[in-house]
Amino acid sequence: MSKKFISIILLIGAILMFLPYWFMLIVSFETIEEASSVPPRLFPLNPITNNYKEIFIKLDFARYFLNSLFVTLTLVFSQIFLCSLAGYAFARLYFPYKNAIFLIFLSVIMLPGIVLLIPRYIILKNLGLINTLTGVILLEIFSEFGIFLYRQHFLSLPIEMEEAAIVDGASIWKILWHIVMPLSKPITLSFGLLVFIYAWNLFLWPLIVITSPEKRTLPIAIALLQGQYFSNWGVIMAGGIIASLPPIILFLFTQKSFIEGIAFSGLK
Amino acid sequence: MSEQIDGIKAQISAFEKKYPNIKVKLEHVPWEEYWTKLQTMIAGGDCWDVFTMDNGFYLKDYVAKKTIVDITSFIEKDKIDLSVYPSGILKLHNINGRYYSLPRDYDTIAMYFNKKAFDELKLKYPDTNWTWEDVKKAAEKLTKKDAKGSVVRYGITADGGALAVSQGFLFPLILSLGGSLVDKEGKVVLDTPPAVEALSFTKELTENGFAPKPGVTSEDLFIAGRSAMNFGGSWMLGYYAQNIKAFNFGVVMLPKSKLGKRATISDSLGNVIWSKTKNLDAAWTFVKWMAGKGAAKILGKTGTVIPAYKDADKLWVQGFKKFGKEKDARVFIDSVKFTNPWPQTEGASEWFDRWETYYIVEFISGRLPVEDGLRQAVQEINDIIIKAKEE
Amino acid sequence: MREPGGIKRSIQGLYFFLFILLSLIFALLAYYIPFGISFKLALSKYDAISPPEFVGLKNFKKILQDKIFWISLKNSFLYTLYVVPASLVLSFLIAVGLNQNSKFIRTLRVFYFVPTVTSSVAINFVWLWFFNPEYGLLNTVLGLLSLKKIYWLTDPRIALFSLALVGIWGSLSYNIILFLAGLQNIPITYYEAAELDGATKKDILLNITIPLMTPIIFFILIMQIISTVQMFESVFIMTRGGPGYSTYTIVYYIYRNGFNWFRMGYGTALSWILYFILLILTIIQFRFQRRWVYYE
Repeated sequence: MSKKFISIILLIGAILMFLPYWFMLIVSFETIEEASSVPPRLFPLNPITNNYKEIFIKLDFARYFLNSLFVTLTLVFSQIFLCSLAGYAFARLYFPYKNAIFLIFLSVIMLPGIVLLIPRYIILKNLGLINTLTGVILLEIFSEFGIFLYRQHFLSLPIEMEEAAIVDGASIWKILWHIVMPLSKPITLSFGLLVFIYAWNLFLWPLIVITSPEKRTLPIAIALLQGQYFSNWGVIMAGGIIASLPPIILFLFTQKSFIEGIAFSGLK
Repeated sequence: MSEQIDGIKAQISAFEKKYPNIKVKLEHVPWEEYWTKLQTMIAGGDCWDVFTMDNGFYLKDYVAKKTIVDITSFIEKDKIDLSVYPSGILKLHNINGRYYSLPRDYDTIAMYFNKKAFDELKLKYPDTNWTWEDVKKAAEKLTKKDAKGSVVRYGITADGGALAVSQGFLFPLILSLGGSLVDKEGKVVLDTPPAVEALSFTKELTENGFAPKPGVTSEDLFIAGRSAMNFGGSWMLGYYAQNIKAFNFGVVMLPKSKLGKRATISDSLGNVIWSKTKNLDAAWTFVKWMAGKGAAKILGKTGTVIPAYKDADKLWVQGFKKFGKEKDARVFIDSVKFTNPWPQTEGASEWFDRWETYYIVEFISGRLPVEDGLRQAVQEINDIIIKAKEE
Repeated sequence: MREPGGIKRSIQGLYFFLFILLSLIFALLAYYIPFGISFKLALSKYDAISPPEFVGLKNFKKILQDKIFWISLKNSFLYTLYVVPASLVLSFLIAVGLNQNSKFIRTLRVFYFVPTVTSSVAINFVWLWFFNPEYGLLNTVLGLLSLKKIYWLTDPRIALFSLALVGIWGSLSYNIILFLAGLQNIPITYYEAAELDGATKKDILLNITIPLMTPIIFFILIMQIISTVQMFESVFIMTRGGPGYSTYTIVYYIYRNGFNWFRMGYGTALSWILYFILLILTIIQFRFQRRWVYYE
């Protein structure tokens, strides 16, 4: 397969992947009439910026943005910290019935989250954390996804480097943070990115816990733009586009470090 | 309710001005998640003191589970005059002789039509003398196909689906043919001859190509000028008035049946009080006010939904002057004389989906014969209702 | 899965406990305690309004005879069968393709990344639009090719499949990101050595890349199966389980029981059945991993 052929296929794939987003973009600049036109347009005839203006004027936008940012960044950093610790423990350290414990950790995602809504609400209520962003965060810190990911990743690293460090007298803590983690930049960046997206888009749980409008996060604010009978899709798409920008920007930043990862060799 | 939120906020400020010792905190939740949140809160022992209820769908269930305060005694004590609300609408707030909310708003169904399409074929616009036969004849003439034979404009559609939509088309049709939807015991009676006739009529229109097959959104078709007659609710008038620029449209009352009967159907929202509220008096004061003249006037001016209070609905009509559509708005108000309440049962949320997304689709596609299928449907629906009652 | 040689087991054990301690605490709070409450609810008749009433295993007995339960379960697994293999293979191949350093490729990556960041409300609306039989993009394209209209979401034979298309599309970028990270952890020296030995691109792919990626592939396989079986949002927004029951997935059925039909006890019991099915499935996969997953 020539490189060119692959490039073309990838290009077509990229267009297909991007198509829905493209339409979101288009609709966000359209009036309702144009947005429901038949057949749907590829480009707006009379683009308007009203939809975006409405979002910034109507919504208390800056506040919701900051709320989302607070929740998201807290979760990103706490999850990276906790999951790398636990992932390393499961990958490298001896403990009786370790794999059974791991499966117990993993099994938390096997119960559909919606049946946990009521029990969790009851727990938060007893802790007095209803209508707090802290309540939202506390219940999202644990991530079996992250623990599993880091475990798999650490297992794929050759163990010799760590053993060499042990011979040199390093403690386990030091090995993790000064040797193993620096070698794990790509996976940490990917994981951080994915956590960012996940936390940024959290919807149902914050919706149930938060009652004061000023504590709302962005996805909730955008969902509220929907009317009961009909919605101004242009405004909703504009909201969706705005909400998607921080993760995209983050992605562009981490892209550079993805490349640095390739340079990693130096083992054998 | 997002389009109404400013109106609601205005109502609340006016209320707080009148009753300075009562503070009202407003919480706004998207419709889909509303019920999830409500249930989660109630299960956790919380709830809003006052909240909005979808009387057509859920009132019976929530009343049966004793989550809502019976306000009949409050109404009597404060001597509330209930005649200011249309009688057909009031029924939706009353279960077994007791009241649980006061009407906040109502909707009715009427027929929107594309004037340009009628002009094109030099047909007279629909008027109040039309019957369903007239509609059928017009649908045939107004359906336009292109050279390849695909439909460019459908003669007839109904908001909320293609044509076979319960609220927008089927139920009013059945009612006008003299049929009922539920009997006195709260059982569904959709297997009567009027229902068979209504479904066969709808099926015929679809099979002949005058109406699209299930799966489309008729609102979009109508806006794009691809539907000549579109049955729809009062809630769409504002949306259409603001966004339809390519052609003129009108609104006419639903047609009469061969029995000479005209019928439309309504749902109504009301504010209910949580049975475990710690602020019963304040809650009642608020509910009373929100269903009163002052609040209705504020709501009416927003031009979003029709307030239930007498004469406040005229304000809703006036809101359409700026679009030149007051005559059309009047049609919805006038229709309330012929309205019937949405059939209230227990377990409505469970059986209605089954009815709308399965049975109707099967009937229209011909996969299920209408008469036998209706009997089967009614059996299944009533089983669901009985099960819901027992739980 | 060797332990690092040279450290006493007791010390390893201590560190193990300390390292998982915080996670354990949060897991208790967010999962295990709610699990306990939820399991009690599964054994109860509960409408989420009045207090729950203990009924023992009655819910579970009802489930076995519940025709809709079996349909939903089947739909969920069918959906998973449509989505997971296709998604894994496609995203792997695309990740390999995107694992190059050219500016062109790096720009392309952003487009593949976009589905993950789009909010589900907006994206499901766009797909609803694509699927619209009258003027949606898909049928418009079919029309241009003189093909008949497809009723993507209202034909009971293909509605589930249409949702699967959305599912594949949405899952690709997530997997691509993870695969890319895994690919970039493969030392470039391995490739260089192989090329020196005269290996073809195909050899390298089959004998170096894929084996080294098996830990990540295993991870994605397990996680994706678990989450795909639980697919809910697309049904909720696009089809509401219709037409008929053809897109009723198990979690959608659980949701309706618990939050629309006042049957929270029954819905919770349904969830626990799903839980055990997924647990057994995962344990089986873990047993099998020795055969194909390669750890250093």
